[in-house]
Amino acid sequence: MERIPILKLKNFLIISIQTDIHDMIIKILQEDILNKIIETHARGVLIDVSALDIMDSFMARTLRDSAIMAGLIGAKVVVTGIQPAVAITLIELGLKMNQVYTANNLDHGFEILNELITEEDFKNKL
Amino acid sequence: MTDKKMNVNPFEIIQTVNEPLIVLDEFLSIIFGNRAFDKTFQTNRSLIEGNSIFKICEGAFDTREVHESLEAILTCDVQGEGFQLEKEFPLIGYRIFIINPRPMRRYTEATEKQILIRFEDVTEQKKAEKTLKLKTKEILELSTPVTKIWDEILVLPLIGTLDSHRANQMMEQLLEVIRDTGARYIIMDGTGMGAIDTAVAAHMLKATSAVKLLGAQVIMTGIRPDVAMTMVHLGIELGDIMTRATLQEGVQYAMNARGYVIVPRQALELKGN
Amino acid sequence: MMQTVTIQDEGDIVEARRVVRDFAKEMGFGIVDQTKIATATSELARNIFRYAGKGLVELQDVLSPHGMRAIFSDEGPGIENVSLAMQEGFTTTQGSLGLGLPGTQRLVDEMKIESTPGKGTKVIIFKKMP
Ligand SMILES: Nc1ncnc2c1ncn2[C@@H]1O[C@H](COP(=O)(O)OP(=O)(O)OP(=O)(O)O)[C@@H](O)[C@H]1O
Ligand SMILES: [Mg+2]
Repeated sequence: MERIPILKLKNFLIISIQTDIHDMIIKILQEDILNKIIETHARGVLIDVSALDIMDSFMARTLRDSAIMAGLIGAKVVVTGIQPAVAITLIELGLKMNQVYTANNLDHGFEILNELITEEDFKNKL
Repeated sequence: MTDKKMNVNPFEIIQTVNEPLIVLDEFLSIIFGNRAFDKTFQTNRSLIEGNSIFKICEGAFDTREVHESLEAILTCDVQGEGFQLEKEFPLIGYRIFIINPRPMRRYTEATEKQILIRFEDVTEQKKAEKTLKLKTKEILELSTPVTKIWDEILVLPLIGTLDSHRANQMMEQLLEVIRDTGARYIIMDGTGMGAIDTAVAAHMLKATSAVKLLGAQVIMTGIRPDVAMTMVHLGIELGDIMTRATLQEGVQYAMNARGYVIVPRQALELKGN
Repeated sequence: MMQTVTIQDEGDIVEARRVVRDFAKEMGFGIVDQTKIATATSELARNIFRYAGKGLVELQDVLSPHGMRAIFSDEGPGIENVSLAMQEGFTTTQGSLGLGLPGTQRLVDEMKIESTPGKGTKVIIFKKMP
């Protein structure tokens, strides 16, 4: 089965979801992300969804759960590039994504990750 | 008119016409239906001839309008206007026809009244009209006056009375601008806004959540006291939306968040010296 | 215009939402409505796959009132209590949110569920052309 590739850049992981995919693949991605965080000690994960023109409750929930799980094992997740129509639909659908960091594009995503990590390091030093 | 012409069987002519036609007797039973009729309604001469118009095609023509117009012809010999029949037909599905019945006694040898009915399929035409109306509406839609005032900072003045449709449209356009410009702070200024109701307030709350999903933040400013009062009376909560009293303070907040401070030049000159 | 999609494996859910989006686009719906209809389809097609195993999606271009209708039918176990199933949070799948049906209702203009336990389920949604 096809798999979504996970790239590593410094202490970040970068994932770009390029096409509409089915439930199984997104589930596998979730596992792969968590395993890769453990394996590489990544501190942050960027998931770019700007190419997706649909995100139903299953996919949104799986992404959200991945973000929460990643948080539990020490990595922050930022989802980038949610399309306007997808955002409106998710709000209407009623899925809460409060716990997930979002950014307009990868650049902003990087900024947010850096801020979050600096903040965390600062707290840990205290 | 010569006798020869009179001798031509009118049904022969009707047969050659490309439009669906049927001929009824005075009891409204079908005497003749042409090939185009069979083809259009996916029926067959043997199924319709001799039967009442109200019985054929699973009763598709058994409607009040068909009854009324045919009775008008039988009783007063007047030809009514064509009328529209819009429905789900058996076998052929949803169609819109213009139905045109007219008396045709004079052209046949028979002395009793006969009625010729012409069917015009306008389904595609009506569809095209609807699409055109839609396109026109799109063109007439107002654009949303989003202004970029600084890198990554947008201002959206809320002007006039918002209805749900307009609020939706505004949200859509705002989100597109956010995506295209990479804006991170959106100042929604309500100074020029008219009264709002619960539905519009709900839309604005949704807009704020959608903006957040795109990675930006809404700052509400200039909510007039009367609007604020209505909101409280309606039980509308702005939740965790950032608010500032005036547009100026909103701009200040966004600039600070972007890492800029606005200071009087004097303060800088003093330092410089 | 009419079209059907058969749902019998997970890939068909993806196929269904693609076909539905194309259909809605062809009819002239805007991008937000296309996305809402496609997402509603995804939710309902997944329900078919999950609870009935297989079923059918039928799409219709309705002229009056102008809009798009989609019919999701299956011959699965049916829904015991439809109004309960429509409630947010009700689910028979562990770990699910029970968001599919109530969420879908918010994405469309009309939604109707006909279900007979033991016989099957039919969900009809309608999106009005603005
Ligand atoms: N086609 C169907 N056949 C039989 N039962 C169904 C069908 N669709 C829905 N149900 C029942 O209705 C319940 C609610 O469905 P709904 O889609 O709202 O939530 P869910 O599928 O349980 O969770 P979610 O969609 O959020 O993942 C389901 O748990 C299931 O019991
Ligand atoms: Mg479901």
